[in-house]
Amino acid sequence: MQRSIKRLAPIALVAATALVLGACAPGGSGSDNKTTDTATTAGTDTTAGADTTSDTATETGDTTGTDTTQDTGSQTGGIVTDAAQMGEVTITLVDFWRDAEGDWMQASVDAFQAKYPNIHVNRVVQDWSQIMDTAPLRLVEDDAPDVLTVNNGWQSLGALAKGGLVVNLDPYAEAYGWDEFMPTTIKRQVTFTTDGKTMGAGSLWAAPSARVQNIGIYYNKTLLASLGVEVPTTLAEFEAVCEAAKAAGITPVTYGETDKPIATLFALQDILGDKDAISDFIYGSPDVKVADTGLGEAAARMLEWSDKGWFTENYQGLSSGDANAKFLEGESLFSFFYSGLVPGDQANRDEFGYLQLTQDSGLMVATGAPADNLAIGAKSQHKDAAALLLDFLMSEEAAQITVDFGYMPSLHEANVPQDDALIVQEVEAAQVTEADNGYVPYLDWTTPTMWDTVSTQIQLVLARQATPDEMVAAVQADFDAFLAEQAEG
Amino acid sequence: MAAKPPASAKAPRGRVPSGARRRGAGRRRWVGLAYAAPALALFAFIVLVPLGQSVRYSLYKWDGISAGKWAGAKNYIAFFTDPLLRDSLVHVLVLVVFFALIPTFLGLVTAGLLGHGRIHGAAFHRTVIFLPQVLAMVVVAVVWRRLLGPDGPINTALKAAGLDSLALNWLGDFTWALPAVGMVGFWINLGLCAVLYLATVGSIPTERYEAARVDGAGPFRVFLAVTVPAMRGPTAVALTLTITGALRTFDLVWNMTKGGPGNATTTPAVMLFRYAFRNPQVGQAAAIGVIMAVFCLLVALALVKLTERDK
Repeated sequence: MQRSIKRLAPIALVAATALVLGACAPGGSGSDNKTTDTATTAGTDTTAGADTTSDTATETGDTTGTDTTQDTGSQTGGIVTDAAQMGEVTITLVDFWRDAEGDWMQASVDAFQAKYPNIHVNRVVQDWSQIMDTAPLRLVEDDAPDVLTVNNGWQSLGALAKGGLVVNLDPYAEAYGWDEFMPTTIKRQVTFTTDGKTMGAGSLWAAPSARVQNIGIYYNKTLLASLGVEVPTTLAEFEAVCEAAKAAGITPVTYGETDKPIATLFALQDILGDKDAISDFIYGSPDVKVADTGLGEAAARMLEWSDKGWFTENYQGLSSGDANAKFLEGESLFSFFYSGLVPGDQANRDEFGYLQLTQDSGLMVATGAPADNLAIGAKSQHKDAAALLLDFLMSEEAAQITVDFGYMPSLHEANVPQDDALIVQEVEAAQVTEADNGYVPYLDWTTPTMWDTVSTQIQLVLARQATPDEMVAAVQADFDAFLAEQAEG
Repeated sequence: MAAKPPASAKAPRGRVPSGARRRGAGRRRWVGLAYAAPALALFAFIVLVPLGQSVRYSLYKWDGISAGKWAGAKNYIAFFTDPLLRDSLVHVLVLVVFFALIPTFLGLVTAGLLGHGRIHGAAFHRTVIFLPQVLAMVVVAVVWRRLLGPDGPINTALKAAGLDSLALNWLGDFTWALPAVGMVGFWINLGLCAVLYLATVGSIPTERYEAARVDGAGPFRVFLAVTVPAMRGPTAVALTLTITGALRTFDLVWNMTKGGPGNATTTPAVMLFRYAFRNPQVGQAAAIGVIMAVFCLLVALALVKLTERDK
């Protein structure tokens, strides 16, 4: 016995040392970072004339310190908006746009570089989930990206803003006059108070690109024509068409659930719920219960559709990608999806149409948001150049590039190519939604865990492992727990 | 200086006066430690320091970005009280059966069948059985997701055989998703277990088999009397590797079901990933990691003790 203790002693000693070495309060290394950061800024910035501006920006706008969250909104002055004064700089842009959409982003970036030849953009393309999952880690590194795509909500931008890993954009918004063209509904999606407690108010932490993405319904024109019916505009009409399709042996609604999609659920919630209740709930109003937002009704409706056999056969074993592949091959009639993602390869655009259903009240409500939001890393050494890129990606020129590539433009009017029937339909729907003030944010932004909760609960409902009421209760519990946590600080 | 070479260098391997041995051993230990120091330092830096950090994080409520808040044992208590985490623990125990117990048992049987080299093409069979071990887990997951898909070959074969009622949505079914993932784990680990046992069977002297046969034992009796007793060592190795592998299951589940349908196939490692990256609660993630590491350590220790005692 004694021998084994002796043998264990050195191990214990090493383990204890390791514990001590690791014993640094998590997140507490902020102050160290700050000093080194300022030093490297001064040392590595070789651009003549940019030194002073860049330094001031770092000092006043430095939000890297994890304990300096209380006041990051006071950045004033020292901002350069004139590209000529920025010298030759290279900024890194991390985004997730690939394939056809990658071409759109590349064209936008190319146009930016053509306009400002002294600012080079090093574009790094990675998977959406890879960027989202690693953002907090890479933003504290010294070679953190200057600009990167972030997701809305508490899970992504909220956490980054609260931790001071991204730059407060209020001074840039003022300098460039972004408020003049940015609708409040859009701006609200990327604002958080500087204490990190409230979403939808306070400072601007990311800038949208000039492309909006709604959850809408795509349909197969040939199949719809074969039924001899009009394009539906209300849920009742839509269900009547589904009924007819089912009777004719056509799968009415494309659905696959192994990757836990939420588009169909949210689209139905938009048709059945009250838009103000949905928005208020997502922005954390304690006065609104999720039961008032139409979520339970939407889930019940999906269960009904599932029971009627309206979804893609064996949807429980298919991913939404699998199911949409079938839709693109003409095997089903409707698909609830994010605008711009169907049809993926753009080659067969003519075969599909786009629609959004109105509520019984006649209002058109849709879950919609800019296709991406771009934030500036707090460690960026070229924040002014980064802001210039954001400004360009919100410009009229960028909106035109968006629509030229077949996507829904936002922030500015653009000339819609009239020979592209699909984009004409999409833009029309977006305009009606805008006119009805019908944009609502995504429910999963509500709390850091909401995506997991909602996407899992809808699977449980469809498998009859939970009732829609139990789903509503689970979502409310998630919300209440988060609210309590926020209050606690 | 040269007159007195270091005692350790000169110390003969045979018998030496006990006093000299003790002194030599003492110095040798320090010299040995000095030699091992760089490696130990590296080990401490890349293994122990992060381990220490994880333990530290696990005691905090921390979103990974802003300053953490002391949480005491809350994260650990949550592991055993939170229904989702508790479910994940149950799931992983089911996976242990599929990943470890069944492959170990069948590996033993396979070794018994293939071991004597009397089966035609034994080398070929060995290669085929071991093949899954060589493949990257993500590749395995993607391939099996296709195989188990609603229109996949498995369901097609079942339907062709007239067993339409058995053609299920394997990965979308609340009852069958976990066993389906488990079967894939079994398919992967069978090769490892079989190869471990085969290597041992090969080292059993043929005389023992001959002696048993001379004594009139049939093939089954030979297997029980000669093969099985020699298998204690490889069994410990096989169980240690497969059980700890099962406890850590992440890539297979993540790429096949993402923990779904619902939460039917979550494992602690999947929950760890969710907490660490998706919903930033790094403290909870660290607590899961520490608990699973302790479990793995206990399993390994128990198996070592078991086999050591029998020797």
